[in-house]
Amino acid sequence: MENPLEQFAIKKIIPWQIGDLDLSFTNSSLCMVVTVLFIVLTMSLCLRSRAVVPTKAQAAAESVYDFIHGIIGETLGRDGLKYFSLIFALFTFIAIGNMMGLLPYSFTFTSHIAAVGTLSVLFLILDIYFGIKHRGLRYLHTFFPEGLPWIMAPLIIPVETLSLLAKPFSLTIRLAVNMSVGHIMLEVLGTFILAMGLFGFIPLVADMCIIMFELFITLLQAYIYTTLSCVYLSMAISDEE
Amino acid sequence: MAQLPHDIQQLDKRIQNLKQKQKRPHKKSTSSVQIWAKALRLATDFVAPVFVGISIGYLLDKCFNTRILFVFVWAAFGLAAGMLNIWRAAQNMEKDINKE
Repeated sequence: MENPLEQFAIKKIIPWQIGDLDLSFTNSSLCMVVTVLFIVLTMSLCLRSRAVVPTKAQAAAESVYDFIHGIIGETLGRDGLKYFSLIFALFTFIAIGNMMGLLPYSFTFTSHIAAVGTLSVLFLILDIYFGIKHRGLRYLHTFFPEGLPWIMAPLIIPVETLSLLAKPFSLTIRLAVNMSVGHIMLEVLGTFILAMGLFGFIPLVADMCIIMFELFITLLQAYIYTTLSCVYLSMAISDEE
Repeated sequence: MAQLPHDIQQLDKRIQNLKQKQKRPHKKSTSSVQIWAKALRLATDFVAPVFVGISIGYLLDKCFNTRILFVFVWAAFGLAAGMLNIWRAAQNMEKDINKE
């Protein structure tokens, strides 16, 4: 039986080491590059004509646009539309990255805590930047809400800081764990297909069902990640405490 | 030709409706996907600060050689932050229900 965790192994394609820093181009990096190229090419091809009466391809691309527009409207409101390109890039990158992992012999970079964690931390830094840009020094009230007595500061400041630091952690764990578990399940059932001989059709049918379910999960996780990122951004830029 | 004013009236009505629709704030839909999202958010939003708190405590203990003093203190902060997250999420849900 094959090791179901082998699919998550990072393999160096172009090794590159600077001192202790490993900057090698890996299978994970390759999948990220392919994902970005796929999104850019598909969107460019679909929106090539830009007709008033859209073609099927243009309508498909526009429906993704409408979907993201809806998420932003529900979480950030109309003012949030200035972050559209950022949120659109985030959703498509995660959704296509998740779906690419379902292809045979591909690699799911969204199942790696390091990859998703970096993205989440980057988004937290952007949240803080946009928060300070919008609210100036009032952003510091995130850590100590206005109106509280100063004696509460030693208790409230660590709690609010932890609450902020936990956001990228919870985003990362939710996505990476969901992706890993689904792929492990597929791999384990896949090995049973040949091992069970004549009865191999049972795990085969189960595998097919799980692939359909995983397809739903990939989109659901991308939706959750994007929605929560928008919620955290709205919390950073909103004056409500 | 006699139909034209009626057509124009209809068109005007449709334009007015559309304009009003655009003016309205986005209504929050409660689809099953959103319920999934909220449920998953609540679960991790409670646990995540505890883990982060324990990790910070562990690092501080290692720095100051204090066994598990900071782990206890930061785990308590994490627990409080987790409860605060749930409290805020519940408040937001209540706001959404009241708006609807």
